[in-house]
Amino acid sequence: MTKILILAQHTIKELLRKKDFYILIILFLGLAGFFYGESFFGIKDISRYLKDIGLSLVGLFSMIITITFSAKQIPAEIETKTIYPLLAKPVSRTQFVLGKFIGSLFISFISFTSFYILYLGFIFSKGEAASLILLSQYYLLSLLLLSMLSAFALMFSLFLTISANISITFLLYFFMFWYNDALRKTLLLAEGKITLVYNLLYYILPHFEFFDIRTRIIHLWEPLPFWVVTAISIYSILYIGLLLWLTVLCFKRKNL
Amino acid sequence: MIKNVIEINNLNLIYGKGLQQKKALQNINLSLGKGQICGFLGPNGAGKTTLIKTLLGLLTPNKGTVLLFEKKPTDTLNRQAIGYMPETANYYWYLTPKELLIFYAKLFKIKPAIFLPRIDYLLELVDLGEDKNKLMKTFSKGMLQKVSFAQCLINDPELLILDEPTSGFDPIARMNMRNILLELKTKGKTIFFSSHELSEAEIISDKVVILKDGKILKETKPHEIMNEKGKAITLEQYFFDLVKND
Repeated sequence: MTKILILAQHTIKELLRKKDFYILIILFLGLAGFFYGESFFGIKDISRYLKDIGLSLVGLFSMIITITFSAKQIPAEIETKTIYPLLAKPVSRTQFVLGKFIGSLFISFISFTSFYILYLGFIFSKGEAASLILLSQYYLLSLLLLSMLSAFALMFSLFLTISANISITFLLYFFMFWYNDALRKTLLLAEGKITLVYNLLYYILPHFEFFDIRTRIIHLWEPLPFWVVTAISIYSILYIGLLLWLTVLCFKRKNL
Repeated sequence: MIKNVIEINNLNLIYGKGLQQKKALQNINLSLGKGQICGFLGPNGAGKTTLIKTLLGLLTPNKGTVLLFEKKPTDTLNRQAIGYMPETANYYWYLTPKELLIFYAKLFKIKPAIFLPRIDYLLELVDLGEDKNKLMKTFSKGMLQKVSFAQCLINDPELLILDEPTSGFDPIARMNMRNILLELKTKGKTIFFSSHELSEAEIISDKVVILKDGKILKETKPHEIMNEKGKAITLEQYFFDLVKND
């Protein structure tokens, strides 16, 4: 565990030293400008819409940081050949992958938390009503979603170039998010001999829509029942575990 | 008691598949005892770096076995006793040499009370004492090569695997390194290195192995090198004749 944390710590140092952190600052400032620059357009009483769009932007910006950072962790080490002296040390490939994953998660969580604090500051300063339980649920589910996306990007990075990986991971997210209903109708309700295959496919595909409770926040609906949050958390943890296991398995077989 | 520090038996490694296939290593057999220095020589593309990567478990052979300290190269604990200097000194340019060595020392689970003075000692040894707190992005190739050498000694390894260790060094640094290697030998360290510097290999090696197209052409002791007429010749002449006539 110590070695995993040393590797994770190194990833964070890399972020700071390479000035990649500027992306986070730029996005943060962009978001702040968006929230607090409403009077610029001369439109009154639009804070409710900003509350909706703002939450989407918080999610999108966090995803950009998570996916781009996770996607380049392993390829960058291979490309610069720094992986050779590193793996010649008493570091297993499993520790290497987990170290990179935890480092990416830290960056992702820091980004999301800062964006979210900015968002909360905005809605409370505008006197918008909000359920604290729902906001907490959103925070937890977003962290789990970002962890899942990070695990996907890390796994894809073994087979794809950085740019292809980023595109594929985003496509996967938006496809599953927008077309989950169509997929459910096509795959889950299909009849015939291949019903089982379709059903299996439906359950294997990642269900990112589980994590989206923005509508509940905007329209002040009831918070999710505790068991639902627990079930989604277990689902994501199992999914992340599976993805990391596959990543380690493939990485162990990879000739460097 | 370990018989051989390095034991390679019938090692074969193929790159690619189908028409793209290339036999990088063919039927390599080699052993190296404790305290020996083995120079691994060969022209470009001979398979030297491939063999070193196989020794480190970075490449998986198609056939044959590799044992370091009688264990598989992928054994993580085994690497506690290995120091590796890669062919190209690519390190994290956003770190200083001291930070790099601290990072690696932590991976070896060395305590700060031990690694901090050792880092100072090693950086002085490779003549980087004054540059230890400068970012490596400002370093020349030779300076990076010195960092590379220092990092491979951080754990006081029993086995050193060096890939073209003197490339990029000026004559003074080269001589300094040669002396360090000979001193390490007196301490019982085993050294396996690849090189293009034949005179270097001749001076320090107990054994030289000449490789071409993934095959060992000759394994001999430098002082036993003779031509067909039984006259002693230099390793350079011997290597040239052997590689040219093969």
